[in-house]
Amino acid sequence: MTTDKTVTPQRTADDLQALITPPGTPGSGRSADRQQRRPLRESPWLWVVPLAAVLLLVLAYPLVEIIRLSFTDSSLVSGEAYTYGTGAFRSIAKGDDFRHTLSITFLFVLFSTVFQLLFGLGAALLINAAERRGLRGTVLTRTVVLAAWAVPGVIIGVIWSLMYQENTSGIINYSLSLVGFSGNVPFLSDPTWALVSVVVANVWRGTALTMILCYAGLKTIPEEVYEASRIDGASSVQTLFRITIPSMRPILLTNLILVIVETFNTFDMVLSLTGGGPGTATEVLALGVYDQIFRQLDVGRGAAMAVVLVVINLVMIGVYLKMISRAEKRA
Amino acid sequence: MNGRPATAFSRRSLLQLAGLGAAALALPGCSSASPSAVTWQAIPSYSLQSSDPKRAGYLKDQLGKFQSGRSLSITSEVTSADTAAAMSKLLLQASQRRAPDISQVDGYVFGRMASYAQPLTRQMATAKLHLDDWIPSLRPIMTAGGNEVKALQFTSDVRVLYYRKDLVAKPPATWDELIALGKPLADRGFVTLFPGGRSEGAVTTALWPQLWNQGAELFDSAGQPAFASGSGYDAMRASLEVVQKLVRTGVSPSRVANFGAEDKANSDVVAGRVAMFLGGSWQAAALNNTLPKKDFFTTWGVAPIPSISGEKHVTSAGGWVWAGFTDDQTHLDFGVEWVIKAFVSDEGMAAWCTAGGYLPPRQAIYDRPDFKQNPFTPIFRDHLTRYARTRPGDRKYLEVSNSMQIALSAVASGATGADEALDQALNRLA
Repeated sequence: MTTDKTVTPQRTADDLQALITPPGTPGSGRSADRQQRRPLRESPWLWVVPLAAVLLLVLAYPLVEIIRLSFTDSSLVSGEAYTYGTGAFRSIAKGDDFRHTLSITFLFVLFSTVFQLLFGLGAALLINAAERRGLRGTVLTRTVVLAAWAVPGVIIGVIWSLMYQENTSGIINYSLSLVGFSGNVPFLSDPTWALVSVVVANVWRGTALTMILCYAGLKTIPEEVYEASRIDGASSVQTLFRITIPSMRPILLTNLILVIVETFNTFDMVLSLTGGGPGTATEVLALGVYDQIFRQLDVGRGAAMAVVLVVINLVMIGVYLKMISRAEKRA
Repeated sequence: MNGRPATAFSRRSLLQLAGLGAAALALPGCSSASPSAVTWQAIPSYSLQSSDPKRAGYLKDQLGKFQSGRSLSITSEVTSADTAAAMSKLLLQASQRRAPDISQVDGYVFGRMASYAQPLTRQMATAKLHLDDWIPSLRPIMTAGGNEVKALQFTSDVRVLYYRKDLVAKPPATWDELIALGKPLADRGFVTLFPGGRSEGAVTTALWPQLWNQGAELFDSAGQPAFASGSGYDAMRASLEVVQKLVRTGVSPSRVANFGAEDKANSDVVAGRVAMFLGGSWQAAALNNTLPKKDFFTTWGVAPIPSISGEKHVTSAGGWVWAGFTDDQTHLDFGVEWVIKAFVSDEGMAAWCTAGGYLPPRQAIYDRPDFKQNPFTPIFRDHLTRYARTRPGDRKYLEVSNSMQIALSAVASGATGADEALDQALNRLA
């Protein structure tokens, strides 16, 4: 005990000295020595440089390269001569096809996001309510719903194309024929139906992620708040809109941005379900980029479309950051 | 100074780390094959990983025999099942000089890759193979417009009109005849199918033959689309109008707009809902095996794809080739010797085309007893010789094909008329 009492003030004095003396100041005593002898492992650069190198290599370099290529007329084939210019951007600005692709993409994102959030929130509320009532099978339900999210997009496209077959061989058409419909609903060959079908498949796929995030959000709401609302005589609807949803606002916001960005980048499921057709009825932006680069080998135009996609994603992330910072200030 | 702390990173440690990092960066550039191995790349169904035990067994047996006692070996590589994506990747690899030594290439794409491929004339001479033995319409693919053989075509196929003999007494020669014949049949529930979706197979089957049988071309001598105006435009519009009429009259259902591949018609054929369909020669054997009574060859007939005038029939032919991309002559010789033995030689082509149900691109093979023909093979061979054309290898082909796939699909779905679809396609190409 005595030893402790005598050593502690001395340490404190040294530490204070180290704090008030700028590093590298001549004659700064012990801290200067420490600075001179500081091992490499204590330098922040050793840890920052590898991360920065990886980010430069896998994020910054491809991004810069895509922007550079968007100002060329290059093809996927290496060694073929290309020129710089704004032709690719002018081509997508003046062509009706790109505007059409953008409008299809916005419709796809809008409906996918709205229904995904509604169904995801609904499923999370149901599971949470079941848990509070001590019902069995909630873990199994969560696992089953999550399985849809774990299935690769290409496989989901194949599964839904079997469901959507446009005669009674298709599961949905067969079911419809049993209840008096024709059984020939053109799910994938009619332009409007095709877009609806793609949205439905995408909502089915994405609802699981929304559900899990909402479920996590629900678990953060203290039980006491619900108890208080019950004592105050709040109805279920009042509890939902006055307690649950306001408490979940941050997670719903995160969810919203994640879903929007993910849906903007979706192409694998659409590729295997409709290939963008019929015509260009389901050609979303990300699929258009893939199509330009890997089917038509037109890297210049594909890169210009990719730049537009990046800008949309950056705007979404900007909105998200702004809303988060506003929410933090309010808190 | 008492030396550095024991746990600090030394300069030596850093150098070692840097060395490891450099090695890790260099790894992707290294081939998985050893210097004594020749890389051989094929699409899944043509590889040792084929899901068909007959094909996989044949290749395994042949490869075992071929490698026995040799100083070099073959390393098998398999592309993705999406052959369009696989061909794009191969083109990129070839242009960067890192394609597998010997690769399988879809015939219509080879024109873009030919400049990176090695000449194979010497290896052909060694194997006593002659270009003249290949069916004339296929030879331009192999030479890619030059004087030397740069690819060895080892399978071929041709598009035809299949018709049910109990429903169609005489196959239609023109599209008007087909519509007149098909309308009452459609009213009875027997439709006419064709691939009308967004795929290479769709335009190859349903559009190019129509354009060609009117004497029009896809490209002019400068390599630009030849259907942007004038008679070429009229011919392309007339081709799309055929599709429009088929759907609007109800002869064909609009769901063909979602038929990406010819084989999409198979389930309807098996279900007995089809009177006629445009399809590929490879479908006959597959359908015969699928039908419960195995009676496709007796209940169905084969005719040329109808033309607009009824006078000049044209169809499109395709197939796969082997090409060599390595500069190492020893590896090239060994790899080419392997594919010749298994796929191109008399015995190899007869065995592979029998196993896969393909049409041999070499004429001599049809007369060999070990080539097991189906009852339609002589007709397919006749079509291949008399009516077949291959797709042009122009630089803009993929762009034009993609744009017209969209037009075809839009017209088949009823979303746009032929005029509008063609104008939109031309806008995309402008």
